[in-house]
Amino acid sequence: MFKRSLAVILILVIFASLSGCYDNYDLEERQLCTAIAIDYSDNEGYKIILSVPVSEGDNEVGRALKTHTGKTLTQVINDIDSSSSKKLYFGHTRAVVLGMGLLKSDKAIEELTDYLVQNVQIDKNILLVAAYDINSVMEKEPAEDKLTGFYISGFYESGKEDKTYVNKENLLDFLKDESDSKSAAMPIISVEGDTLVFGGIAILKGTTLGGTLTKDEAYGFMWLKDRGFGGILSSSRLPISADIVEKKTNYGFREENGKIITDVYIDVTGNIWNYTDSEINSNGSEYLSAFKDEIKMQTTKAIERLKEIDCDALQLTEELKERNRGLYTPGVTSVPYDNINVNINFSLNFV
Amino acid sequence: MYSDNGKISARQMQILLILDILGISIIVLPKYNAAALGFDGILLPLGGGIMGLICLYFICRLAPFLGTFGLFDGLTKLTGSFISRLICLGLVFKLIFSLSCGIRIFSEAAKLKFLPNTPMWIISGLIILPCLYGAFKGYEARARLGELLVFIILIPFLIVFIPRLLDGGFPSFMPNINIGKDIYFKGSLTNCFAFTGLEFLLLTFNHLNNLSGIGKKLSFAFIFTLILIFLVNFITISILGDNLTASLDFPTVDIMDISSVSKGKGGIMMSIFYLSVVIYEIGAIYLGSGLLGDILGKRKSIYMYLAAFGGYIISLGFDDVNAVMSFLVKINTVFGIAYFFVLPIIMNVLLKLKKDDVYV
Amino acid sequence: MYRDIDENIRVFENMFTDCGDLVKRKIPVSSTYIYVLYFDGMADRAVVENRVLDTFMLEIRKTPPNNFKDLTTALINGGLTTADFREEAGFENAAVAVMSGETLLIIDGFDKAIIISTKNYPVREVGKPDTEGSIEGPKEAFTENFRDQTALIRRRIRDTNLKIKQLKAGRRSQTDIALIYLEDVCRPEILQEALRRIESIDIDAILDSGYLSQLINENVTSFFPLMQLTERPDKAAAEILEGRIVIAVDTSPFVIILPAVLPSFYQTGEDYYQNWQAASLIRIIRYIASVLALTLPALYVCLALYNPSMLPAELLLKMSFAREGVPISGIAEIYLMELAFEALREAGIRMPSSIGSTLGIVGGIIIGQAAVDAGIVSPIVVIVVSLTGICSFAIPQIALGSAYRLSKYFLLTAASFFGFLGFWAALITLLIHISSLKSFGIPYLYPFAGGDIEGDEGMRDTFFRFPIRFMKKRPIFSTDKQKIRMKSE
Repeated sequence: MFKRSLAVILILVIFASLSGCYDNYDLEERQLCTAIAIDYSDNEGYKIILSVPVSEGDNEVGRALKTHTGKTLTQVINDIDSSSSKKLYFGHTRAVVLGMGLLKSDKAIEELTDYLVQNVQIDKNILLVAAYDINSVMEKEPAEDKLTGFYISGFYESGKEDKTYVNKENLLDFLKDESDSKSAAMPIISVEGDTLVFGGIAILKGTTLGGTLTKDEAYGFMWLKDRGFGGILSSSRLPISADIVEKKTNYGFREENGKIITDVYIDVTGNIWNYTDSEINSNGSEYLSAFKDEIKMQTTKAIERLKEIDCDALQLTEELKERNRGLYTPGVTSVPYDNINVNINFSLNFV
Repeated sequence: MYSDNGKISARQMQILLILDILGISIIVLPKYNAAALGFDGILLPLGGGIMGLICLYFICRLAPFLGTFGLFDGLTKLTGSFISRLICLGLVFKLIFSLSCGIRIFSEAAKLKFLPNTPMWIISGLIILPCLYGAFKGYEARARLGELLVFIILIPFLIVFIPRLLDGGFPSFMPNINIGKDIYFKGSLTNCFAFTGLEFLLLTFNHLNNLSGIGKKLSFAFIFTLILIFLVNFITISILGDNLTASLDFPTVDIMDISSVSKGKGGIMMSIFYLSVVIYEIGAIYLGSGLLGDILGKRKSIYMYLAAFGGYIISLGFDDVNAVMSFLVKINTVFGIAYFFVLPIIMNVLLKLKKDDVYV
Repeated sequence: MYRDIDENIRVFENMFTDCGDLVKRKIPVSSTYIYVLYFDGMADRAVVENRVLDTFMLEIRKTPPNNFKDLTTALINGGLTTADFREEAGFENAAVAVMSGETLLIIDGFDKAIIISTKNYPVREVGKPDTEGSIEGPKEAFTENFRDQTALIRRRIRDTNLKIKQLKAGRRSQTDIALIYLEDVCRPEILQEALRRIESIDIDAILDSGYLSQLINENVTSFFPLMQLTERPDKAAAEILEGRIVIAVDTSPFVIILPAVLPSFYQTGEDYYQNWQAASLIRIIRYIASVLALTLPALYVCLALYNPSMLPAELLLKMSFAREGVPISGIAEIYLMELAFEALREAGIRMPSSIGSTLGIVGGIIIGQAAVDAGIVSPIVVIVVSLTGICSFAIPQIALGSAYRLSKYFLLTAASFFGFLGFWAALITLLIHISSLKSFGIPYLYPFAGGDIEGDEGMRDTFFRFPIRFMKKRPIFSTDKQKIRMKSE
C-alpha cells in the first residue's frame, strides 16, 4: 500500500520537475498590450504601433506607444518583444487598427490573419478597425479612457455620450465573412478634432481592399446588414433626430419572372426626446416619413456603391443559401444584389 | 454491507451514458458535420440518433444475458472460446484507440487554451494520470463521480447554448436532398458511431444491480443526450456558418468564447467538458483492461497501466488535431459497424437459437 | 482467589509494589479480617470511609453475627450501604477494577473479592462546548468522564432500545469504550463491523477517541475524515436517532460518530434549532466557504500566472502594478504567505488566550501591512490567503477543515506547475478520491452520489435544511424498517 503510494508520488514529482513551467509568467513580467496598429507598404514593410499601459504611480494608469518596423510581421513583433525585459501579452488586446496600406496588400492581410488566428493569446472577440492614418489614431490620447484599445472598444458600447452608429467587426466575424463570401466590411476610424469618429467602411474584396464607403453609404450599409446597431438618426429634411434603440434586419428571397428579388426588412424602433404634445399630433406622421426617407436614401446609396465594388459584403449569398436553397447557384455572388427591395418598418416612441 | 458490492444503479448507468457520449461528441461533431454537409449538418445528429436508438434497442435486448454472464463469458457460450477472444480483443483495441483520440483531442484544446508553450507529452500525461487513478478506484467510484458531476456539465448549456436559442436568426431546416442521400446516410452513420458510450453498455450490464426496465431508462438518457448534442451542433453551425465551423479547430470552444456571458472564458467552459472526457477515459481504461484480463484469463492491475500507457503513446503519434479527427472517424466507422450493429444483432440471433443451451 | 486472606494480600502486594498512591489496610472485623485496597485520588474517600469502613468497623461490632458463614453473608448482603458493588473472582480483573478507581474488599475465608464502585477521579465539570459553540440550543458538552458521556446521552433518549455496549481496549490503558446505538434503528451490519474493528485492536493504550477513530479507520491513506467527532451530547443523541452509532471513549471529551458522510460534516446541532430559512442560508455559506478554502489560492495562481486574460483588464493592471518591485516570484509569494498563515494559526492555538489576540493583531495586521508597504508581498496575495483562512474556519468540523487545507496545497502545487489544466487534473483526482471513499459501506458522497434509493429524503438535509416537518424519514444509516421518523398527520 505505502510502497504503491510512494511510487505514485515519486512519478508525480518526477513528472512535475521534468515538465518545467513553460507558460508561467509573473504578472509584472508580462507587458500588456491594449491595441495594435499595423500598416504596410511594399518599400518599408510592416510598421507596428503597440499601445501599452504604464504605471504612473499611485494606481494611475498611463500609456506608452512602441513603434517598430520590419520586413515580416512576426519579425517586428519579436523585435518589440526583445526590446523590453517584459514579455508581450496580447490576452487583453481589444483592438487591431489596420492601415489602408495593409488593406491594399493581399500578402500582408493574409499574414496578419494567420498571425491573429495562430496567436492563442488573442481573443476572437478582438475588434478590427481600419484607419487612413494609424499614427494619428494611436497617438490620440482621449481624456477619460487613457488606454487606446479600451477607448476604441468603448466606442462601440452603448451609454457613451458621443456614440454614433458604427459597424462592428471582430476577428470571428471577419473570419466568418471571409470564409462565407470572400468579403468583409470593416469600420474606418479617424481623428476629428478632439475625438475619434466613425468615418466610413472599408470593404474587402477577397483579401484586398475593394473600396471604401463614405459615411452616408456606410450608414446605409449598416441598415442593410444583419448585425447589431444603435445611435442617433438625424433627418436631412427636418431638424429632428431620433435615438435608435432597436434595429433588426431580415432577408427574404423570391423568384419573379426569372429574377431573384431580395427583400430586406428593416425593423427600427427609435425614441424622440424633448417634444411638445402639439408636435406629436401635427407632425407625428411627418417625422416618421422623414426618418424613413433618410434610411431609404442611405440604403439606396449603399446598394449603388456595393454594386460598383461588386462583392458580397452583405453576405447575401450565404443568406440565400441558408434560407432558400432552391434559388442558390454555387459560385454566383452578384445575383442577390441585382434587385434589392427595401421595406422599412419604423416605430417612433415619444418619451 | 450496504452497496459494498461494486454494483451501480440504473440511474448511475443513465448518467454515465450521458457523460460518455457527450464529452468528445460535442467537440468533434459540429466540425465534422459542417464539413460533410454544410448547413444540413445540423440535421445529422438526428439521423445518427435514430440509428443509435436502433443499436441501443438491440444492445438492451441482450441486457439479461450480458448481466448474467458478462460479454466475454457470454460470447464464449454463444460462439466458442476462439471467436469470443477475437471479438473481445477487437473491442479492447477500439477502446484504446478511442481513449487515445479522446486524450489527444482534449490535449490539443487544452494546449490551445491553457498551456500554449508546454509540450504535448506533458499535457496528455496530465490528462491520463487522473484517468488511470480513477480506473484503479473501480467502476462504482466512476459511477458516483458521474453522479456528482452531471449537473456541472449542464452549466455551459444553461448559460451559453440555450440563451443563444432565444436570439433567433437561424437558417432554415429544410434539407437540400440534392446533395445526395448517400452523404446524408453516411454522415448520420458517422454521427451514430461517434456516440462512443454505447459500446460500454455491452460491458457494463453485469455491473448493474437491477436490470428491470433498463432499456427504457437508457433510451431516455440517450434521447436527452441527443437533444444536447443537437443543440450544440445546431447553434455552432448556425452562428459560425458552415465554412468557418469546418475550418476552425475547435468551433464549440470558440462559441463558448464569444458568448456574452462567458466572454473570454471559453477555456473554463471547455474544462467543464474535461470532466466528461475523464469519465469516458476512466471507463475505457477500466473496461478495456478488464476485458483484456478476461481474454488472458486473469484480471491484473498491470493491464490498467498497459491500457493507459498504450492509449497515451498512440495519442502522441498524431500530427495535429485534424489527423486525430479523421482517424477517429475511420476507427469509429470500422469498429462502430462491428460492435454497434453487427455484434448485437448476431448475438440476439444466436441467443434465440441457443436459448436452451445457454442458460443451463 | 484464595480463601486465605493473607495469600490474597501477598498477591496484591506483589502486584502493586512501589505504588505510593495505593491505600491498603488489613482491618480486624469482629472475629475475622478484611482487606481494603484502593488508589488514593481515584476512589471517593468519603464513600469508602462512610459506606464501607464505618459499617464494617462499627456497626458489625455492635451486633456481631453468630458464626463465620453468617458473618460473611451479613457483610456482603447487609454490610455495604451501597447498591453498586459486585463480586470478582479473578486477580487480573480485580486489579483492573482497583486501577479504575474502585475499591477492593477482601474478606478472610471468602474466595471472591468485593468490588465497590467508588470511582471519583479528578474530572472536569460538564461545561460549555469549546469547538462547537452555538448561540441557540443546549450548552452542555461531554467531559472526559466516561459515565458523564453515557449519562448525557441516556438523558436525551429514554428508550429501552438505546443500548450502551461496553468494551475495554488498550492492553495497558484498559480504556472503557461504549458503543451507543438504538438497537432497532441502526443497521446491524454496521454495528457488527464496528465491533469487529474495535475488538481487533491490539495496542497498549488508547488515550483519546482520536486514537480509536484512527485505529478503526478503513482507509489509512485518505486524509478525509471517515468518522465524525463531536463534543455535543445533543448532536450525539440526534445522530443516534438517525441510526448512527456513537462511540464514547473514557478520558476523551469527544465521542465518535459513525458512519460519516461528507454532508454530515456540514451539519451542526444549531441548524435544527433555528428556523429552516436561516439554517439553510448558513448551510449554503458553509458549502461556498469550503469551495473557496479549497480552491482560492490555486485559482489565483492559475489566473495571475497562467491565464491573466480571464481577469478583468483593470484589475489585472492594478495587480500587475502592485507587483512591480516585489522581489519574489508569484508562486513563492503565495506559498510564503500560506506558510505564515499556518504558523500564525498554530501559534494562536498554543498561546494563552490573552496573548492570542495580541498575536493576531501583530501577526495579521501589523506584519501583513508592513510587508505590503515594504513591497515584499503584493496586497492581493494577502487578501487571497486571509480569505482562504477565514473560509476554512467556516467549516464546522475541524477534521474536514484540515482535509480541505491539505487538499488546498495539492491543488496549489498542481496549479503552480500546470496552470488551469493542472488545477482541473488535481481537482478531478480529488473528486475521484472522494467518490471512491466509503464509511462502513456507506458511500461518502451520499446523498449527492450513491443515494439512489427509492423515496430517500437525504437531499433534504444538505445544501438546504428543509423544514423539520418535511424531513419525515431517516437517512441511509437506519434500517429499512425504521425509516419513518415522523408520522404523517
